[in-house]
Amino acid sequence: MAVLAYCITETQPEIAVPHAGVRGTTIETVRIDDLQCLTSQFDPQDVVGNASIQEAALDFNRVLQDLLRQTAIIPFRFPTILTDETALSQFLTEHQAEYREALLRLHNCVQMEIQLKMQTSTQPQATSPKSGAEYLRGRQAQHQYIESIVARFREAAQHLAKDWRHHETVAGIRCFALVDRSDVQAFLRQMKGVSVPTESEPRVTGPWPASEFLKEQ
Amino acid sequence: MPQPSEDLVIASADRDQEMTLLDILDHVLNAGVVIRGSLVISLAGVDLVFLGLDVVLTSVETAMRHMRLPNVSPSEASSKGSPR
Repeated sequence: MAVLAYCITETQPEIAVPHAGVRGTTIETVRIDDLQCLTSQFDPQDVVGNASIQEAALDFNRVLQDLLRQTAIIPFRFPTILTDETALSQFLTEHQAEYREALLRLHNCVQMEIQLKMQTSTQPQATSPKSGAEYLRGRQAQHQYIESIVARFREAAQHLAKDWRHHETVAGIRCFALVDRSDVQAFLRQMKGVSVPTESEPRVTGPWPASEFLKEQ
Repeated sequence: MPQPSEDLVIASADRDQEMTLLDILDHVLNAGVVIRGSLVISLAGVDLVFLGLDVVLTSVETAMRHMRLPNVSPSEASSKGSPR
């Protein structure tokens, strides 16, 4: 039967494997040396329909959060389904060096995320440009405006964030801070003190697995 | 004008405020390791993804898109939507 892959962790320190995975399935481990991947049997017919897929995704998140509270994890995107455990073992064997490096580097760290909405109407020079040059100046001003807001959060986080990344999306900006798990509450307090335009609807979420920091920049 | 962030929403697993469904789905569907693969996943008799390597995956977003294309063939599925 196909297997659903949840995440990769180190085998040490030993972790308590969650009792149930997606749809109540039993979670098993596939080990390659000092790495392990948590999996469960997966029948696609079990998750037909929007509600079932949503429930399965929530089950998946519950397993990841349970494990994240115990150790550093490298999550798979949901749903990552492999033909069988042999295929998963092959994949792990091929990539074990990079995952070992990432787990070592991200050890004891979690990812905090800041989302900022940047609607066109709230940004400078959002009116229709009359020329190409005006359009480019508008874009430049818009970019500087966004960067100035990001800079406030980054400055507030500088003593707590071991690494920082951000990128623009269609809806606004997403900032990611790599934070020691013991600093999560301090990070949240720091973010509370940042002054930002209210229309940007700032939202801080986390802790998450450090997915944005799997590769070094 | 910049304001003190009284409107800042903090949704943390470590706090009372729970994360929204959107936060959670966004993360499990869009963050993490991606494997590219070869198995055709079939939901309700509809082939969802065919990529041509050794293992398979799709995102629910992609799966849902193809669930709305009842007669899509594996090759069409491959060209219309690969995992992000």
